[in-house]
Amino acid sequence: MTAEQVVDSLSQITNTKLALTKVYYNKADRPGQRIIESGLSRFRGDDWHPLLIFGKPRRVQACDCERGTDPSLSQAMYLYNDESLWKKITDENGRLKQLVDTVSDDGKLVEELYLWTLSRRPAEEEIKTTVDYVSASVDRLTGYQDVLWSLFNRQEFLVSH
Amino acid sequence: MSPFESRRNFLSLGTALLPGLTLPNLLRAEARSERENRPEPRAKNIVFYWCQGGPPHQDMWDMKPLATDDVRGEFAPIGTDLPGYPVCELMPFLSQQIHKLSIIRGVNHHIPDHKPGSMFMLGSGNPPNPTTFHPTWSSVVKKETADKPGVPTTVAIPSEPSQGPGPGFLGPAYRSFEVQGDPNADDFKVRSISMPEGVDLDRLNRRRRLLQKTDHLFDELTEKPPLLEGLDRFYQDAHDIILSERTRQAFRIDEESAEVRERYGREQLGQRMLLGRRMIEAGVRFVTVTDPYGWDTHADNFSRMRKNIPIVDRCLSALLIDLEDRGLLDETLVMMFGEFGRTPKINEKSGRDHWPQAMSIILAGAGVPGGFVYGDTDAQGAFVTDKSHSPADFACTVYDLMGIDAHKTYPAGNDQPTPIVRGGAPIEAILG
Repeated sequence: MTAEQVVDSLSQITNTKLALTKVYYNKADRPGQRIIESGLSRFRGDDWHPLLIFGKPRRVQACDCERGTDPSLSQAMYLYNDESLWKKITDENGRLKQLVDTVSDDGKLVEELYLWTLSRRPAEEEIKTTVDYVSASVDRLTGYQDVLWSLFNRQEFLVSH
Repeated sequence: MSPFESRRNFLSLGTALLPGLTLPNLLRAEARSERENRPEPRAKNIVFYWCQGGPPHQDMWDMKPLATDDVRGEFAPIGTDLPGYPVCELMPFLSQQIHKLSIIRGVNHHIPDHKPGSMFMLGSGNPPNPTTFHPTWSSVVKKETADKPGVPTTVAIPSEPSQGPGPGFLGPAYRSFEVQGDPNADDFKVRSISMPEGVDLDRLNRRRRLLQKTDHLFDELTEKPPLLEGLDRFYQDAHDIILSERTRQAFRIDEESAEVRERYGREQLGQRMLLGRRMIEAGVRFVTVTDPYGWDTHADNFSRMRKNIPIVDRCLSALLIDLEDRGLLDETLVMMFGEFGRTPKINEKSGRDHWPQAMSIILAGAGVPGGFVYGDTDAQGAFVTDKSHSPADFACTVYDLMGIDAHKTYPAGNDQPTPIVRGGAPIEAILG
């Protein structure tokens, strides 16, 4: 995925606003907004970091080679441990909280999360592992926060979309 | 045992079996094999300051005060702690540190453009090649160094040079950890290294097990492509770094006193150098530092140098003194250069253009000779007149200091056995 796709999908999946200022000159600021809606190439805010490390061109060279596509340690650290991504996952008004509150069937909820992140349905085995994990967690919401985290950190998430 | 495994046997074969090996080469090979038997490389650590754009050698280290007006430039030379060797008047601090430096004025090449020139000088001294990108210095070091868990082997502050080959044929797994951000900013913080609120070690470990249990999609591949191999490795590194208090602390530049921060200069390059020193102390082996100022002075060379050179003068001398005070200079190689030098003739915009026929490379530490000016250029600073060396010779020198076999080969570009450095021989005078 390109940098913009990574950041857009993280926001879209968690249903949170982009953590960028100067995305728009007007006041538009809604969940699911996309980077491409802005003509700017530089931003401020927490989401500028993932855009940079996933290789969004800074538009300082007149060359398509400016776009990076290689994986890096910074990318792994971002998905694995970044505060701002964790904020998106645990957002009080975010998608995860809303799904956990409204979908009581765990099999269905796991399926929803797989569709949102990996665009496929989970295998039987995956449902079982996940539900076992959640039921051994402090509470259901905490358990699913970890599940969503693990889906973002699957190689599949970045590689085979 | 193969006859080549012991030096004695190797020598007893004489030159009969090895027609390409002349006596000087044989002696050199012997000297090298002795160096290779050393338990520790001389350059255990490296701080590499890359001057993107090509610094004007004749306005810094290779002054031509007797040249005509259209070549000489605006700056006057000043004396240094090496009698008879002048440097630019904008370097009062560095002029007193020459006793720590090897100044190499004979390395030159033939490619006067940034991208391919950078491929040359960043890509381990290999001329740019349309089929194969040769790996940059930091990537070779990462490949050839055993990992210490919890410490990144190579760090770029803030990022790897945009013009170079990056990890080239070694693959993305050998790219440096890039700090990003500006260490001079008050709110500078390296992202993603501290556990977020609500996550503790138990939770991190538990959910990591969940991840490992479910992340199997690519297990069936008998041979993982470099991309996935890179990801595997980065996730392991990320986990270890997050758990290492020492590494996380090393990134906190605000733990330095105001006095030390001032000594390096409170601007971006100075604070990058200071952060680099903290990285070396924490066990990072190779630190790449780039500057935000740029050296590509096709116009207004002199006004731009009035800004750049004093900044470098302050922070590079601060780094050298600091490393020495901490007992690190003997085992740390500091190197500074760009992709080429600049034209002798000043253009109509008071600028200097690209000039790969001459440049100055600065080395310090790791036992390289100090107060040593090696090689010379003509009266215009145009062509090398003494000790001309290829970038490959320079690369072999540096890798020798780092304890890396520069001619080791890897399969690259349709599985050709490809050496880290193609050809070249170390510059013995620099190895001391």
